[in-house]
Amino acid sequence: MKKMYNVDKEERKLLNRMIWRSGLLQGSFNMVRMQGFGYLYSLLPAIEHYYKDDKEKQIAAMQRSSSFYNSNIPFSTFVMGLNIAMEKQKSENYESIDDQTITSLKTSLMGPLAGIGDSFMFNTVRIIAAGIGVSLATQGNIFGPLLFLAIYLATFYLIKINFAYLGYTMGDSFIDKLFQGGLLKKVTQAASIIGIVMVGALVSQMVDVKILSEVKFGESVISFQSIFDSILPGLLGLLIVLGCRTCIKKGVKPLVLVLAIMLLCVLFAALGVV
Amino acid sequence: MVAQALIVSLVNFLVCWIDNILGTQIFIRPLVVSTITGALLGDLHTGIVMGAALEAMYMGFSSIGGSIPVDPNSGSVLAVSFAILTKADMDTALALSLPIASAVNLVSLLVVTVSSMLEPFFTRLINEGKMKQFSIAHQVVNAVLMTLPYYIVIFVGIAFGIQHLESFIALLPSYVIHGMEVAGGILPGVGFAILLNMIWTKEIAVFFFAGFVFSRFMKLPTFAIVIMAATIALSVYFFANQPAPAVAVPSNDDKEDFFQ
Repeated sequence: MKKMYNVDKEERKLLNRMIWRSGLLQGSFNMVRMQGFGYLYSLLPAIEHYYKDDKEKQIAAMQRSSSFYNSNIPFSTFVMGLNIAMEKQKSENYESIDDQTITSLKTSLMGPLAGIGDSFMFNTVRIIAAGIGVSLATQGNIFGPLLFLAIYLATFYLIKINFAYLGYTMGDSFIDKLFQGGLLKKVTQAASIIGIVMVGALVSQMVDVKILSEVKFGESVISFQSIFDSILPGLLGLLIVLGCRTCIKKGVKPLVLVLAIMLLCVLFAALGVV
Repeated sequence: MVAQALIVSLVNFLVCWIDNILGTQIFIRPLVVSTITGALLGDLHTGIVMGAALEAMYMGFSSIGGSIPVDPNSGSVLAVSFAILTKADMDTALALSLPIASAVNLVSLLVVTVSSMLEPFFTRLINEGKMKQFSIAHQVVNAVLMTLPYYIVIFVGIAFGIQHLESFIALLPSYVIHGMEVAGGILPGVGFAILLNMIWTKEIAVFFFAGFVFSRFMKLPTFAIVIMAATIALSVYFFANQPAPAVAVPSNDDKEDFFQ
């Protein structure tokens, strides 16, 4: 971080404390402010530092920092870094930025960052990490869970730390660049291609059914399983997953789907099909 | 079983607590907690293998923004404990995991209700400018309210619930148990389906089948599949930047003439 960003020692200390404390963003999650108190908790060292001589201003900063907030945890450090930069400017010239500007900037950024952050962290990074981790773990390999953790955590901290510094140093011009160039969309698209390939591989490894039923053609006995296998090994698993996806797309609740599958399996087992 | 229950719930509580402090939301995933629980109960192998299946099953469930209908963490800890302590079949334990996880999830309703009731208390600390007290309150609420209740449920579940579950399952006819085993092999598919539904677009759907073929037909090891996937993603990314060839336009017109 030393050479990449033009930040002095004092500022770096404040930003690093914010990065550390922002882990607890959901620490007192509630339906009124959602992560609002966690947001304030992350900014507290900066507020204490910038308004250390004036209790009134400290309280005002605490109040505006604890407004409603809800977003993705690692991506949030960007908003917080930007917010700290604004608080710093405000502490130097109190009239230069009004409360409304800070609150509205925060509120306008949290939505898009939540959308991008959640889909990037959970639908992409975690799928890639799980794709590697799960397929090793099915063989009982301890590197499965370890790599799962390592891949995710490395990405997590790379984003979390850099976004804090980017927010602080570049401000919202960075967000404009990200959206205008369409860079982020392309990165997310490329990453979701990796994700969907991994899901395809995982489906072939983990979803399987064996059909026991047989048909008799005179003397010869043909099992259904061998018919399916001759068309495409793992075809049934593939069809089940695609069928489930269609159901979910049509609005069937996943838990209903799970119960239906369990009931059908018991039924088919009773009939001797599976 | 009380001793094992205590160890499993205590260690998993600490893991979840650390995860909450770091904000990583990854140490509480089924693959990690199943491995930890397996190691604590003396059967690391079962823990890892079940962790893989549970991770697959819950993969889609947890990413639906905010409203999670199940608690994958306790569903995994309890399923692995059940499989190891009663030597039950892994697939049966897997099938039992989801109903358990959705039952334990009721705890989260309680937790959020109580934390919402604490909102005026936090607001008062802010209005009075009590920074230290605010920080401490935030940390305490995280540990005691947001984390601990789930592990009390897990402790009770392992200490007193598992035997009853075992004797209940012993009463079931064998085809029910076999059906649940089969269901255990299919349920990861529901997790994948939720996930697919989120990332599926017409443009990239074909790569899902590519992944299936890489693994099933070509029997590529996982790392090879990752590299293939990255290759595809990067080439799509690079070629998407190229300007569209100009030839496409006249040929399109031909088509229209042809159909008219």
